Amino acid sequence: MKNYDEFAEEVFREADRRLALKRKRAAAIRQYTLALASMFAIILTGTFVLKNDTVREALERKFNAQNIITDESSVTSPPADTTDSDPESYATVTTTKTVTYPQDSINSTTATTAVRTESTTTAKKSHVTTASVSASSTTASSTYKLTENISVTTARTTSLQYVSSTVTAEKTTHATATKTTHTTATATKTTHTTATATKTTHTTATVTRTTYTTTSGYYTTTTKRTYVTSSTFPPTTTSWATETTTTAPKTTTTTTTAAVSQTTVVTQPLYPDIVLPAETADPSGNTTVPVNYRCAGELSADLQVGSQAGVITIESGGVQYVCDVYSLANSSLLDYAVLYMRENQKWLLYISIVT
Amino acid sequence: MDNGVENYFRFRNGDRNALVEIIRDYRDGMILFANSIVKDMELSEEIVQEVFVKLVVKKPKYSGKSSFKTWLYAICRYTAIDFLKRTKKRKELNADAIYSLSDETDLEKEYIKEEQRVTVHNAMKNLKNDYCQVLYLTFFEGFDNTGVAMIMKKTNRQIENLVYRAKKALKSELEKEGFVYEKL
Repeated sequence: MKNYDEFAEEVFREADRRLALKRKRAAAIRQYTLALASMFAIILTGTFVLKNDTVREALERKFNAQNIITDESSVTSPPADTTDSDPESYATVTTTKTVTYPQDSINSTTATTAVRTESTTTAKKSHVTTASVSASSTTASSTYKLTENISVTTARTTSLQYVSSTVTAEKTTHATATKTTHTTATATKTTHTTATATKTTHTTATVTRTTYTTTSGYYTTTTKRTYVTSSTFPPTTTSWATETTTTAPKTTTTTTTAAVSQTTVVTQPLYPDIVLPAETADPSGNTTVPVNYRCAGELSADLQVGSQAGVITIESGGVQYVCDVYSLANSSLLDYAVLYMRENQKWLLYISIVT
Repeated sequence: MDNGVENYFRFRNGDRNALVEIIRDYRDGMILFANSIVKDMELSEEIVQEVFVKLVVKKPKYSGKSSFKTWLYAICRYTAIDFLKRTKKRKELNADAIYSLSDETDLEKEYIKEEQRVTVHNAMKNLKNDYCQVLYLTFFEGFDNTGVAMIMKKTNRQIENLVYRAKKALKSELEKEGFVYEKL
């Protein structure tokens, strides 16, 4: 068991240790809190600055892209009075000019505000005149052409004349037009030929032409707002002259469909051009025709060829010829036939090459 | 205003010697009281040391609703219970316990002085924790039921019942050893 002094000493030592630890911990917490707060402050400031810069740069880009000319008017100081012998006749000349451009030039659908504030202070030795002009407008257009012309003239007697101030805002939007033409053409020709009697040709031609013309729109909006102040000083009346011209979008759609369909049927006789030659000498008592006569017709399937002879009737030039098939020069190929044609009970030797 | 309060106010005003006087006045009784809770002299001494360290570090405000001694013993009891919760179990008697045991005997003799009361204090060690605490506070520290109730966070009625049952248990314990104590 410790004696009282030892005990007390140990109590104080332990307490001092804990107090030191507590102080150290509190200091660390304070330090961390401070560091954390500084960090947050830096982040907030950085974000704010960055955001402002971004907005400003975006506005400038927007204005430059659309060739917006910003003409900041100048305020002329009172002219020096050369006749005044007192050099401190004009003690103080203060000119303050504030131009606020539309804040939402990027988002053009919302209303914006253009504000111009100007104050001119001219102090004379014994007389002080303060002039302040403020103009503001609210418009729904997205881009502005801001033109200001201000001139201030102060005479020796410190009278101030306000001439005029004009604020003009214009918006022009051009849309695009598109024309598209589609053309489709299809032609088909089909030929059927039969050897029996006719030749048929079907010709079908179909042409389809489709023309689409679309004009998506041409949108023009011109808004002019003019701020006119009175020419007297101080300016007592203000008025807005507003002119708005709006052209609605034009949309034209043209669809043309031209379809051509033609069917031609041609029927030809099997032997259309058979012209019998003049009779020559007939050694066998029959009329003989040249053997090299070529027939334009086709050999029908009904024509009995080969060993068995048949009879066919040929009509040409209104004359009917009955022909006996005598033999075939080359029956296996079915290319040649030797025909004996009988006309008015007379035999004609007729060699035909059938194609 | 008793001496303890004066010393404590002096200590709060920056006089560390005042706390040394408080330690001289109350340390031994608090160790024995803590021992009645944790049944370990070494741990009891640590607990009492912790109580005084708390006083130095936190400098808690004494409101005066109870006596200074009651307030101090209540702090001691909470601290002892806190120790018990933290360690979850009482320390087993080990080699150091021989030292603690002799230490305890010395402290009993020094603090309690009267031989009969020392015997009674020894007999109390076999009793339940609550009985032990209530008997120590009543017979050895001289607290009335209200003070004991404040220290042990119980009602007066509960303390009365507790004292009655504790006396009965102590009497039975003493009788086992053939000892009769007329004050019970």
